[in-house]
Amino acid sequence: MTEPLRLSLQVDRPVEHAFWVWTAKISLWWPADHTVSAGPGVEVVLEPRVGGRLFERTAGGAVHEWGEVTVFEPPRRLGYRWHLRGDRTDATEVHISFVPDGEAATRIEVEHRGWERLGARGPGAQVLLSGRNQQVVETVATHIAASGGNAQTAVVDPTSPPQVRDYLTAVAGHGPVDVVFNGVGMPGPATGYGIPYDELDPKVLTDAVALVVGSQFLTAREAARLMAPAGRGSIITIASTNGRSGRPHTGGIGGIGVTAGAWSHWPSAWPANTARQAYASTTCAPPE
Amino acid sequence: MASEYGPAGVRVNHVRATRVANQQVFPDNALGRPITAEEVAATIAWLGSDQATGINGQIIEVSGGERGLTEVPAAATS
Repeated sequence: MTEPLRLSLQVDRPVEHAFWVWTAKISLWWPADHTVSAGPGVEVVLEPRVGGRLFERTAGGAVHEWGEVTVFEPPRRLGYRWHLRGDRTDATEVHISFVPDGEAATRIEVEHRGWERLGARGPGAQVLLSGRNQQVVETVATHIAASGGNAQTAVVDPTSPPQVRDYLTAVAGHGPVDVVFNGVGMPGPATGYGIPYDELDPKVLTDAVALVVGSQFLTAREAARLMAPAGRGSIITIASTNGRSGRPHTGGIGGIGVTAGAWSHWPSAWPANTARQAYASTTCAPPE
Repeated sequence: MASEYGPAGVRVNHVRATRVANQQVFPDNALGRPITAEEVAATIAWLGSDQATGINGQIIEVSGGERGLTEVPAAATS
């Protein structure tokens, strides 16, 4: 039996508010590009009752059903069967608990189970997700788990050679690492975005380049070191096209933080027999 | 790096991604519409899959054929 996927995250809101946003306001936080249609104006709806549907409605009115609500106990418990892009009889189960942490905060615990119904298809690739900011990686991992993927998180600084080496070595201890992906997200000012060149401190630019290129290099180097003995592997780095956009003062780096949302598509894109382990890291300049 | 590790079976590629649909500006491209994060993800997933074992040392741009930068049409942000 495939073990359930579990993860949790902390939000600075009372449990009633957290449950309300998660359910009634799901369209506010669910990434619009992480839907079947991925089109502009898409709406996500969770009908607030047992037996209610979880679905998306496109701007044109088309409906894509994702699942069916099985537990609706505000403000503490929510459950639904999840069959997006699959047969309804193969639905897996998502259970979400909202646990008060004092009066003003909530711990949200997500458990996704029932993978055995998928047989050989399994939950897809095991995604190891790391970054300098725990909240960022947990948020991305939540999206992955809620949509049927399998992600584990860790806080690793991709600019630290020992941290990258230690973590990737630990990951490889559980099996071959097939795919490594490193994305860089930086707030605009940290890249010099919007600052006229005449006023731009060269250190801003050199620091940003060091962060971007340095983290890409470290991650790729350690990945290659592990992949070469296995005789296979794919290393993918990513950057933006900002530098040649033609817009003044955009610099040549940054602006790709949004691709973090893209990671949640990996599990469905890679069947279990394609990628056993994928390591993704994010490099964000503080403050994120 | 692609040359050094290619003989060992390790492929190294780079994706240049444009700004995507949920940002406030997007590059004027030959497709005439914003690129979605899913389209960027699909390229990444493909590069990591066994469907792309012949691709190594490449820079692949996912921009829809980018030319310049313009405001996102209202219909794309509603």
